[in-house]
Amino acid sequence: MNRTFTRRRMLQALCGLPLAMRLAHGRDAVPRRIVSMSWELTETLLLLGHVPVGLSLPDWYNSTIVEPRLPDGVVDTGLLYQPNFQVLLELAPDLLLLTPGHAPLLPALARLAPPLTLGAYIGAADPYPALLQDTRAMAAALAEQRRAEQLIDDSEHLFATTRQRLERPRRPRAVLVADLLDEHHVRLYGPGSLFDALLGKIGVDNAASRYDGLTGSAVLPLQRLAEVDDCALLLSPLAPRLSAALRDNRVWQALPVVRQGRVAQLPVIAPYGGLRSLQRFAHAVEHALLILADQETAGA
Amino acid sequence: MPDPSLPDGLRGRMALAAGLSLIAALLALLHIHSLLGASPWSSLLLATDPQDVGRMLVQETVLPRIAMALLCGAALGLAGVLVQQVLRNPLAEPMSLGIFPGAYLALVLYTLFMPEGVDAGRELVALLGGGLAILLVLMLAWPQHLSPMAVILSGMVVNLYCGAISLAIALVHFDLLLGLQIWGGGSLEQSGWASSRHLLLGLAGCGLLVWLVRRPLALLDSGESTARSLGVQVGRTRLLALLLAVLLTALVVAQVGVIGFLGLAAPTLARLLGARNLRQRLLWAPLLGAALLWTTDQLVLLATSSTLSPRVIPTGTVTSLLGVPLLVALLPRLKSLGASPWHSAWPERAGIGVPRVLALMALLLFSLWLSFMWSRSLGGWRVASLAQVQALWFWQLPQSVAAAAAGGLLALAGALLQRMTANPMASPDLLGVSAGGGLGVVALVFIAGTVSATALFLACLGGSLAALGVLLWFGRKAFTPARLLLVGIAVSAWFQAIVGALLSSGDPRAEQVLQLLMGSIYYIPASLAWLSAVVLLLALTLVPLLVRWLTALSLGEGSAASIGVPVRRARWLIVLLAGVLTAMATLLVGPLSFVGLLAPHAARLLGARKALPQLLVATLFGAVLMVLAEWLGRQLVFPQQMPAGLVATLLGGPYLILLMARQGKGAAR
Repeated sequence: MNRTFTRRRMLQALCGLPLAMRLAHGRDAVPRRIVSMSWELTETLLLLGHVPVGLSLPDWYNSTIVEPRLPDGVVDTGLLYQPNFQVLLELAPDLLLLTPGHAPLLPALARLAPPLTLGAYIGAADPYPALLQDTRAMAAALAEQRRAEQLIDDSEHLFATTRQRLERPRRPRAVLVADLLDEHHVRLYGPGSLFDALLGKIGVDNAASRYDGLTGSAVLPLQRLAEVDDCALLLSPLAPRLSAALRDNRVWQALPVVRQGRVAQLPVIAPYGGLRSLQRFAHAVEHALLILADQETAGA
Repeated sequence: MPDPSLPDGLRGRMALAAGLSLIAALLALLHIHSLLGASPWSSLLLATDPQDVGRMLVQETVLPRIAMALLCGAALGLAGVLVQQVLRNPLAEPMSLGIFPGAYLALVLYTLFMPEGVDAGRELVALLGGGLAILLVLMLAWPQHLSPMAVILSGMVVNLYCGAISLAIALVHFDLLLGLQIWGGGSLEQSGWASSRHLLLGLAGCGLLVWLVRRPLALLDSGESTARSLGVQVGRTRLLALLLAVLLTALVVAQVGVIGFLGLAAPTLARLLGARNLRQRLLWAPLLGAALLWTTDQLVLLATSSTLSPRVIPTGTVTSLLGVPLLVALLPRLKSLGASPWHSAWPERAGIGVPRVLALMALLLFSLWLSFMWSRSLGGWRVASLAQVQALWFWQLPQSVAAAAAGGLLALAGALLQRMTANPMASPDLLGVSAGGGLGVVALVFIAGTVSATALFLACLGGSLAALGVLLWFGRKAFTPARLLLVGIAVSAWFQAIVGALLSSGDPRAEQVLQLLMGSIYYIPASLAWLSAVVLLLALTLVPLLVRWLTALSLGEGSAASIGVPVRRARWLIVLLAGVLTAMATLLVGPLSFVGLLAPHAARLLGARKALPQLLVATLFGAVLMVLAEWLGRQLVFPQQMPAGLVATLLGGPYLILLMARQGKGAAR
């Protein structure tokens, strides 16, 4: 574990300062009424055993993050980057979970409740360690350190066992993780994305690294998928209209991965979700690869 | 060796078309060669073979894309010639007339509300949207007898507002945003031949119709009365030609999205290269358009397929970015720019009385009361208790002050500009100053990453001042108010193209930029709110000093000079003042709102017809409108909120159209 004083650590410490001071006063030792302004951070919050009282567009959380499920009754606080102050005031929170995108609002929000800015891992160059750091930082604020360590250990254990199971010889060894945006464009997750980090942890090659200069996620024309061979294509769920369009799309039909039948669908997984999303991702990749391998042996 | 039997112009046109096509063809050949790999070229004639991916890609993506670029270029070139011929206006084309943005907006709405809608309906929807947009433009320009300047001004206004509404939709539906933006940006990406075959049929049909009306169309050159005396059904010919242009645009937009300003470039090049009569232009503009778009597309392809940038750049965005400067460069070709003094058709009134002013002030107080006291909450509508007001005072007070100040600043700037230019369509957001501020914000987010309120303020101010500087530099020699407005609008259109390119790039920061641009009043710190109030008060004390000039200038340049007004200096000072006011307001409400356009009209309507009363009443009205808009924005989609500037736009739009329509009726009388 890296214990040096980096700029990010300093900033995180500074962001947590108001909270730390409040904790030091001994009043309200653990925040109970938390308002979260990020779906990704809400996932981690729920994993640490706390349900927020308010969240921007709660329905969106359930449709984009999926697990752990957000209980009913969480109040909608408005747009992600423009929370409704009227609602915030009524909710009377004792902790606000913010992202770096809320920086312009920080002075105003800080007057309503102590803020805690996390989620810088979403843009980080090496997002996985940053995610762990954020998870620990949130746990520290909630006095849930033990739970966080348990969660991290469980996740690491899951990733390691998945890796072992995937180690036996199989084809294909590499995958592409992609969202289909429309019938001509696809978004790929390359090195620097959380998906890429996870693929590395479970011992699966990311075929997106074969595209020069692709870091994080990037949008490419569909036919550039023809440039990679010998890999599986893992797609996020398609709109019904799009899957109909693909059936008639001759470029799609001619892509090597499609002709070899190496296309599988993933469930909805947030590309920058918390550890639960990553566990589900590891599961889904393993599941997809096993099914594809079975199909190939059956075909052969 | 030049062929002496060819006239000069023809040789130039052929050289340009051939040269462009040659470059494009070379690039295309290289591209195809790299894809084909080992397969021989002759294999392209065979049916697609799923085993040979490279060949399949050439047959199903590269070649259809080239066909699509050629067809779209030709269609837009043809559309450009048609509208230019009908409107006698060298700057008219689908983008500058608002046809493209109208069609695009209609399709965005169609996709959002009928996601499983039939594909065949798309062209009809685009046709309807484009048709409505051009109808609106003609209606807005009617009182000025469809003078070229008025048509372009109205067209670009419609263009900008359609763009603002599309952006506002993107704000709420960001899940659908990316796909729509790529398509809206004019991506020529193809898979298969279906789209290009469809467009070919449409283009052939339109071409045939144009060929049928080529004679009456050409006779329009000799003037309306001559054409009529030669037996031309002038009205019907014009209508048909405009309809064909809208149809061509709709076909293009339904297949590949918006490709801006190509319809301007192609006919202009044809004309510059000596295509003097309509027949030559009808032939050469589509050819040049096809060559231009093909070359542009090949260059875009080269830039994006290189390993350097794994990002999508829609070709249409590139043509927009290149086309706007072309529009500005062509401005001197617009003759007869002198906007006639504007006569309102509203009934004359003696003047604004004290009761009306008092009523307006009472309204301001009432809307402020609303902002603080009466709002939706988790339990429904409620009047706030004193404790609740106190708790949110730190937040609500700067918001209300900023809203009032922004409304006042925009209204004042608008009234100054409308008075000075004697042009009812003049408006501060059209000066391009707001767009400059927006560009500053975009640059900040993409260069600095995270942002603080102070940094946002400085970036926006810097951008606004830079845009103002550009504007002043442009106008330093030949300064006519109308031309300056067009330069400003062009800057705004350019800004929209850049924002569009960012949004379609798929960059995760794009969403944050969008939020900042649209909801900027939300982010301002209290100090800025108070500063803006001070600026507004200062401006209000300065304005009485300008009244004599403004009164004289609204009578026309000649009369103003004859009573001893230093016309040039007066105009400069007024533009500078309006620019500073606009820069301040942009920081508060973002780049677009109707307030600056609307408030001066409202003031006249209330009876404030002389310069000073109009300025003051407009300011008051602007403040009321914006405070109300800020309050409504918080209530309409509770707990989400709509940006105040956008609510003001949505409130003001229908009113403006009504006003213009009535004015048109008055002018016809």
